[in-house]
Amino acid sequence: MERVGRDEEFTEYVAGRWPRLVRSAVLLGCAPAEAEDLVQTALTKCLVNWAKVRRADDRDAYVHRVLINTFTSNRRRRWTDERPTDRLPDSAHADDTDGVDLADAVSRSLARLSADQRAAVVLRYYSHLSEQQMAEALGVAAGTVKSRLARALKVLADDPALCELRGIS
Amino acid sequence: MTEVELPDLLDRLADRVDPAVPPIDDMLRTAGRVRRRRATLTVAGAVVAVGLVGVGVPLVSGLGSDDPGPSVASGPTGASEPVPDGMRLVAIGHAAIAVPDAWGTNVMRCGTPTQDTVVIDVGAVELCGFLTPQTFDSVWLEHGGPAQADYQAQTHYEIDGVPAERSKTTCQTVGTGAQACTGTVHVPAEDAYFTATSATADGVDRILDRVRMLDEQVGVPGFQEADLQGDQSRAQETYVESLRALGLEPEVVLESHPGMQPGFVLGVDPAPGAVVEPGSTVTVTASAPPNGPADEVQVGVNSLHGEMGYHDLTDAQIRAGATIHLKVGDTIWAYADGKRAFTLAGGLDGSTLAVSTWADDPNLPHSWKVVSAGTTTVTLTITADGKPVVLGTVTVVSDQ
Repeated sequence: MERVGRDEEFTEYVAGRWPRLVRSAVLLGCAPAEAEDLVQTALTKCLVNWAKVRRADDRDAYVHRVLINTFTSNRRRRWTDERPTDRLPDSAHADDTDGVDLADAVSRSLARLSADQRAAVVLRYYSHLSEQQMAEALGVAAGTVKSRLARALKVLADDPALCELRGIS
Repeated sequence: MTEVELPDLLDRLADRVDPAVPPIDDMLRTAGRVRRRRATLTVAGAVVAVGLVGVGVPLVSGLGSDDPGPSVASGPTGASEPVPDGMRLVAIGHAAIAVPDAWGTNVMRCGTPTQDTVVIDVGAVELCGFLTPQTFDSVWLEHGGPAQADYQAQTHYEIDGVPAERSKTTCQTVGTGAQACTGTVHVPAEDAYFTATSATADGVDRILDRVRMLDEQVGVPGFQEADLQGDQSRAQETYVESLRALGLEPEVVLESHPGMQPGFVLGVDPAPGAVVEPGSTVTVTASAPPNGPADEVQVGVNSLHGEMGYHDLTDAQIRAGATIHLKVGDTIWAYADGKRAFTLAGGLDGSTLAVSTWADDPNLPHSWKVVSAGTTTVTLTITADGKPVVLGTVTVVSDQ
């Protein structure tokens, strides 16, 4: 592949996906600055193997797979000195109080999920990947995706914090 | 938090983060450095290999075999030369390849051919590991970039007077012990790549020797690129433009697919790769634009009989008016996906259903329990601009 073509394609891809990927990383449990580093690392890995990204055809599933793998291996490496955060991202703009409470409640509920369940929830309900794409991104069978989601939804449904949330929303 | 609320809640949480501008230049620089480092390592590995086996041929890749390279000098395949008996042409633009009629099209599992096959215009390839005990013959046609990750032009030659490039054929042993050899021909004028795989390097040559240029005829272009890359909302226009650019006559047929983005190309006839005369009509099936709010959402109904029996009703069945037989004690619930899915509601005509009393039911309030024998019709609606829009009905017939 022509180098220029590849770089242009990559630039276009990143321009379109960057904010959403960074936000996905925050939902996975990264602090905002860490999320940007993570996405930068993952996208650089993708660029090195851009031919594979092209060949994958479903680029988003491939890129999310790299993102999740990078996230998991970072966590593993730093497991001893840091736990997955339930820390809230700093508010980037003024929000109404209900909005803040709501986001806090959602953030706390996500923290109750296992890492696998949390990834499944983020990929399905924020990144809007299909179950098949998720199976690719998570490197598991489609059935596993379904059961992880089902278990995650059960945990969220049983979360007392979310009863409050119902009152708000 | 219910399944329908989740996307909105996550969006609201995510919106609190304001990402900085992506450091694209940093990424391009870092990736370039990594690639150069890899290249150096590969060359170093090759030198060691040459030293050990004492063969005089330079090995480009650590895995590469010392195959004889492309048989560039083989007889030219004239553009007007007839297609050999028992073979068919598959093309990208004016660049075509003749393959045996017995070969399938896109017969793969996890991206691995499971019989001799042409691969063209595949959508998503499952990212999974699957190895066949033997290597089947295949040729992968790509527009815009090679299917072979490490494609490198090694030989420059001409096919029917048109400049072409050919990679070195490399062979490696795959997990099952079978040998798989791969080589690629690139026709820059059409930006077409033909990547052949076979059990032997000779097999690869035999496949790639059948690349030829068409004088007048063209291959029907693939539509996956328009659907999956670039501006997806313009997929249909992009594809129709690509047909016109090749001198073909597009005829668009719209199909209604509730909840699906309009202008998505769903199929094309003749199929991608088929060789047609200029001016031929190509029928493009695409998703229709929404004809009102009801088309912007996809609805589903699921029910649970006893402990294990799930019964799904599809969007089309519900819109057509579905009937389902349940027993007292069973549960049935509706869900939706797409615009205004949040406003999904079910109106009951009948008294045999009661709204689920399970407080944590993720599908509340459109989740019901069958409380008595008889018939109740559920009318499913969404709310658009303050008014209910009917999506369809499900008639629940129940007995004890």
